[in-house]
Amino acid sequence: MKVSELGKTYKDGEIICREGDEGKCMFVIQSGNVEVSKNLNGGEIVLRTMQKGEIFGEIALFDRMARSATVKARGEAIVLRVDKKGFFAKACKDPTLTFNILEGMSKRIRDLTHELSKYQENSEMV
Amino acid sequence: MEMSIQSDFTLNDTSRVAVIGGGPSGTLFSFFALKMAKMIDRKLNITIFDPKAFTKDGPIGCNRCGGVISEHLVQALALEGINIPPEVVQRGIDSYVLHTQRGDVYIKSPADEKRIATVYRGGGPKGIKEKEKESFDNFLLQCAIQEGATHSPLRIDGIKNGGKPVVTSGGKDVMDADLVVGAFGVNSSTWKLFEGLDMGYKKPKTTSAFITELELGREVVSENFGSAIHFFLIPKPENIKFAALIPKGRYVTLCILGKDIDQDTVTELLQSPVAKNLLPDNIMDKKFCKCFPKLTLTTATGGFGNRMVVIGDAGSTRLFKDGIGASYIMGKAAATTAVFHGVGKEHFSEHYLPVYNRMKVDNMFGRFVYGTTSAYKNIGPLTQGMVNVVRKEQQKRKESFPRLSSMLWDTFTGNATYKSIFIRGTNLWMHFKLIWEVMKGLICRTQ
Repeated sequence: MKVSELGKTYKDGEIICREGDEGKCMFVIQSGNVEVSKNLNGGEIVLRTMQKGEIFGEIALFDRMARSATVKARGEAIVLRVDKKGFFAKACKDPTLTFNILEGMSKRIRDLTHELSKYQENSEMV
Repeated sequence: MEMSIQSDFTLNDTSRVAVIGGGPSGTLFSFFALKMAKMIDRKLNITIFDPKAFTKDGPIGCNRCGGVISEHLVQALALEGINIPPEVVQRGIDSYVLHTQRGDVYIKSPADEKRIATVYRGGGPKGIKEKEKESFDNFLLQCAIQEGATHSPLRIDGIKNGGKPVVTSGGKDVMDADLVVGAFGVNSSTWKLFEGLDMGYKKPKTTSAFITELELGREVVSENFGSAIHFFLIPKPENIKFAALIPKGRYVTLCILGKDIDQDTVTELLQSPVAKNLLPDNIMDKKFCKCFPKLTLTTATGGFGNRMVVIGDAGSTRLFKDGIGASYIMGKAAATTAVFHGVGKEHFSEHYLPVYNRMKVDNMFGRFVYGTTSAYKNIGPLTQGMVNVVRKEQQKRKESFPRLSSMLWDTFTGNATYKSIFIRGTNLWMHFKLIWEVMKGLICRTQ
């Protein structure tokens, strides 16, 4: 890791957070890409790739359930951790801190809706 | 009545905002005001007035600051979509070393991660040879510009306060504004513009500090300092509260906070054995970029009025620490008030003043925290007890919660409010451990 980089460096393929684990923090990608995947019927499906500036791991903080997916570095990635307690303490004083997170989550719901409609359209054709 | 306040003091698509000062307070205010306005489909016209060229080296581009971005601010900015790039960060910090009269103690970041950034607010020390990094203030200014703000290099030298305030430069009217934001520090003379207005503004009381940039070379800085900020908690010189050596690229920033700091104080500190261990001999014989900036001690009074608000160091800031973090909090609070509520005195009183006062109250806890720290710095047996407890906590930090270490970490990094540090300081078990170590130290010395 270079002296001027912030966060923690993950090597290619290194797991940043694992599906099923308790969510104690969320993450902001400082550089590189990460891959989000989910275990399904014994296999692994890749859901999406995320890049610099994107936030992940926030779902488990808000719904207080286990991590919904595994996230690993795709190539070398630097990721900054934001702890649950500190985040909620700040958000209590300044709820606008969640605006950017909500914007990211909204975008992902929109993308998922689009994917789902495409999937349904394809299955109807089949 | 409420209706007329709403219609008179609500920002709309044609509203113009004059921000006087392009440091973090002004740029973060502008960034958030523009972002929030877009959320409710409004388009604001914000101009940031600052003649300072942040990209230039030396005093012309400098904002006279140690240049440490706290852990909580690095995280908050990342969540807001402002990720500080490596091109701006001089060095990522993951630990602190406290140098005391009874030995050194190393405190590692509770997160095992580099979450503190050291930066140059301007273009770096005067005469910097290789300019490899960007200015932090310029980075924030560019973030505000990308969000839609305009930067004007004009120096605002007057405010005419009629129905709508008019800002002037060189005797000429520059802008009649729906809101004037005073985003200036205590080292600028802009406060005079606001003291002359009818809002009752009185600038905060200040104390002196000393900042110098010592050029040691990249290898020496990495070898002697690594990714740690070094704090001096030593009883002499008596007029200093604390001093810090902050590693940058090829330079180390020496920051001294206290009362009546002068060249003799600096010399006495640098001749102390702990400083000599870290720095080359006769370091001050060389000519380095240095300054004696003012540091805010109290909060200003009358920090807002109709269509006027003062943010930044000249309004309300955190005592001794995390001034840029305070700029983020106050800049955002002013932006939220202006965009979602209005720019009247009553709006600021209802939505901005509570944040302002919260910081003021927190600084009262801060005075107590620093008072206690001073006692532990000056009284040998207390110093010994503190050093012993922290050393033990650091050895077992994975197994148990390092309470005193975390309190010291948060005090010196500005990572938590002083109130929360004070509350954690009331833990009886921690005091028992401290008393035990103090007594052990006293017994050992008498034997």
